[in-house]
Amino acid sequence: MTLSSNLAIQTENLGKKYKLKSSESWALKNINLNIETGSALGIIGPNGAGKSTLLKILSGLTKPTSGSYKYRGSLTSLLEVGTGFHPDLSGIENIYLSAALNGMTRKKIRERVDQIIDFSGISSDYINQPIKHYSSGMKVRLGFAVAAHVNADILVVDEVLAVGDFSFQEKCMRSMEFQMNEEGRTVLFVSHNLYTLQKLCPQAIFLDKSELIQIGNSKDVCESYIGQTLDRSNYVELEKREDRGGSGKIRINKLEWTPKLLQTGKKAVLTIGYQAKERLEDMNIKISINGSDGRFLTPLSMHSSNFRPESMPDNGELTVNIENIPWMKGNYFIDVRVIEKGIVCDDLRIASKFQVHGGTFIEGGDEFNSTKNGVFIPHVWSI
Amino acid sequence: MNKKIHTVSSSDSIWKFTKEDFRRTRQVTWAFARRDLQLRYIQTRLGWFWSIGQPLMAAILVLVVFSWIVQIKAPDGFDYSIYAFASLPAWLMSQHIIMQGSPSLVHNQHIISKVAFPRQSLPLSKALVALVDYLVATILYFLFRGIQSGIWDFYLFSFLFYSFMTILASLGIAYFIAAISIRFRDWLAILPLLIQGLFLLSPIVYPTEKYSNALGEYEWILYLNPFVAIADGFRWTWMGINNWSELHYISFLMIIVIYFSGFTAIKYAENKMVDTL
Repeated sequence: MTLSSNLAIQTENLGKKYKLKSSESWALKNINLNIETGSALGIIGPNGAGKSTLLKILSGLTKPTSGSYKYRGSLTSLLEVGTGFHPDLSGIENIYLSAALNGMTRKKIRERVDQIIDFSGISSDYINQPIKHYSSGMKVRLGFAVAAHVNADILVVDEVLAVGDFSFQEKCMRSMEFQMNEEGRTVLFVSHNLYTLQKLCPQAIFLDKSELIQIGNSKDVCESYIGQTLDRSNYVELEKREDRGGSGKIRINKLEWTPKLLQTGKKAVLTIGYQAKERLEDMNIKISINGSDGRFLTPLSMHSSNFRPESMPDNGELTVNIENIPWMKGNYFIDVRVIEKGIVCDDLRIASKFQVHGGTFIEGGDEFNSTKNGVFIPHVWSI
Repeated sequence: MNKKIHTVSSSDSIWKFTKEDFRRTRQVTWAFARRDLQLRYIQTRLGWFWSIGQPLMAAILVLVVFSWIVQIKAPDGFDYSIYAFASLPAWLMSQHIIMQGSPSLVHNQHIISKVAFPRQSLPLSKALVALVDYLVATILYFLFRGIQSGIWDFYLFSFLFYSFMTILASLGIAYFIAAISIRFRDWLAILPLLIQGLFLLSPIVYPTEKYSNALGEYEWILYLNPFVAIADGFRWTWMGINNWSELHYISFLMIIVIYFSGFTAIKYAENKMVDTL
């Protein structure tokens, strides 16, 4: 029962083996980590790298197959917004329920309940109403408000910050940052959003194929994660990529730009190839164009362009025409997600990268020089 | 830095139960029990009336079916209604615990896969809710017996002991089915049949002495049912009927056996649950 006084968590040879029907596979292998008290550690890696398994083990949801870990003080995991919420209970009753499930004592909840209601921004008319009458945004805000007030020495957070409206997300992030700095709380944070992760966590670890690949300052780790995934996207054909999420019903097998040389302000066409086992209905492809630091820049989505074919063949190609490329000179990468009838069928992060060469967005203008990634918008100056 | 250091290892036994686990069990059990009580009040039009209405209706049914139709008589000239109702509150409680506790893990799987807590908390919370109804039903029986026969004595120790035995036996069954139904949902499908069988085979509405009618020298098989000890225990508590035999030891032993197998099952399933769901 010893743990050096500066450490909050220490893992030793932590591993988890899952037995499948005929084979066995290690979802996590030989994880050795020393996490200092008061630090914030980001966890990144492609889908299926073992991030969620690590979180599940550390939060006590499942037992490790090998190794052990120690932690100091209390540990709470926030793997979901609004855990345990019941639609028929009122806002206040749900606060008590969810906070108790997240490890808060009744006394602590009573002390903080006004703060929680205040933070959620839900008016006093609504807080005593059953939450089935709430909008989905209100439910998320209430869930976040509970999460932001959970008191634990160690907090294990799974991408829960990825939902909710933007200003509320910012508020939650500020509250988390505050708690880390002021209250000396240790945070483990898993996110696909490399930008949020870098902002929140000075340190990060990189998991790939069940193993710990790198540990270090989060900017370096994110860069090598992007680098490695891009390498993979260069050498491994899209259809052979294994680091995918979703049900697997549909697979994206082609993402190609024409012309090969992309220039700001010029025309470009993105061709997307997909394959499935049957005809598809109500399919939506959502593409995110991200900057080289992982920051999300531009969405390209079938439904948000009001393109809704009723039925699609089991495999085929779609094209996206961009009249004037709005992106500034630099490197970009693409995340792609396919949804059919509300179910995520394919989810591939860093599916491919592309480079935009310089150019002018507005005819006759000068090239805008910057090392950052950015997006031009059509605009007109006047006196 | 004098905060407690916790250690979790792959070699931990399923019996590892720390002070922190105890605190967490208590916290989560209360939270779930409170949720169920709040929901009952909100969802049903008559709300708390059911705490009184349910045992009353059960009692009327027993009276109509077993006293008027089947015409079962209580032994030694006792009043049948006082005789049959003695263990009825306990039976209703255990029916509630088994009926609600057994599917409680499957029904709350979305919570189970996101928050860690000792899993026995869920069936246990159903027992807390059942306990509320049990106390109401017991008060009703106490008043009924008093008015009907003029007897107002109350043996607290004996009452607490047999109430505790009822909870142990029903929780054992609920734990067991809750644990196994994570992998085999079929167990939930046969639940109503199981409850019905348990009621018919238990000497709740008929005297235990009738057992010998059926199996003769093999009647000990029927004493494998934990509710034999419970039913006779309550008739002893409320009416002073003493029909204890050596065979009752089997029934008492079964209460312990059932509770510990159920508890072992849920502890064993605990670490695998999230992977199986």
